[in-house]
Amino acid sequence: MSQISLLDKLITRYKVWTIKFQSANKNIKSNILQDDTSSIVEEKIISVVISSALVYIGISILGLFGVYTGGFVAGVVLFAIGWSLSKFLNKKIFGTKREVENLNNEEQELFAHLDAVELKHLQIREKINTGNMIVNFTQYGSLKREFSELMRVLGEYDISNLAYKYRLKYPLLLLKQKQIVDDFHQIYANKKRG
Amino acid sequence: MNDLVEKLKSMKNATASQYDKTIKEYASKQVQKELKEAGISKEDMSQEEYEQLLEDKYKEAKSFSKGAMVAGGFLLFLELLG
Repeated sequence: MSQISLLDKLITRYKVWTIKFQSANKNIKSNILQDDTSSIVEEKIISVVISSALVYIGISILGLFGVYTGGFVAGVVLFAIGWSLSKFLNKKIFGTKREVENLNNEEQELFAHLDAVELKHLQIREKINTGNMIVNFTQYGSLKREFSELMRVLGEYDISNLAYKYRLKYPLLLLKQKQIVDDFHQIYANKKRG
Repeated sequence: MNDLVEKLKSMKNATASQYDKTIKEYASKQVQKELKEAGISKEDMSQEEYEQLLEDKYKEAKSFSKGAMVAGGFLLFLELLG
């Protein structure tokens, strides 16, 4: 009786895990596509800060040499220069949103790999829900190999394809993915977290 | 997620707590939808597990919708600058 109860508990945990796995995959894909709407706000804030700093520094230096800066007009000119400069920096830091069709071969393969592993688990979940899988947790060996391969592909991904913000975020997402894979081992093979 | 962004964009002059409430409601609906798709009822899970899912979804939605939340004011002003 207790074994049935344990199995039910593990099945529920596995189903919850599939939700977390889907979410983690989505976050990795979104990062590679540089698809974060908060960047729009961050870019604008950086632009205002850079432009304002340039106005302050520029007018201070000119004033130091006793040059009449022209007040408002010089401020507007320096602000415009700072704004243009910030656009260039923002492109390096935040990049632009990428489309799936424009990704390179390595990235296309990575997406296909993520989709394939996700689909496999959604199919297992579906079979459990429809009662088509009588004996559960029997494919651990092959699923484990697939995860090893997936983590290898994710680990070897060349982050220089991404803007700086997304390069910094990628290792964190990879760590999160590793934790999710560890959770899978814990649930599917009833292992302790390594 | 786009429907949340559109809803937040339409909330001109809303307070931070109103935005937060809308995001929390969205996160709750999404979690319930995902649980239903996964074939899990809320009762099957511990309260802690459920709240963790809710928290993750809330963080995700909040991060995604940051741009939309300021669309009504600050962003509009900045757009005029360039």
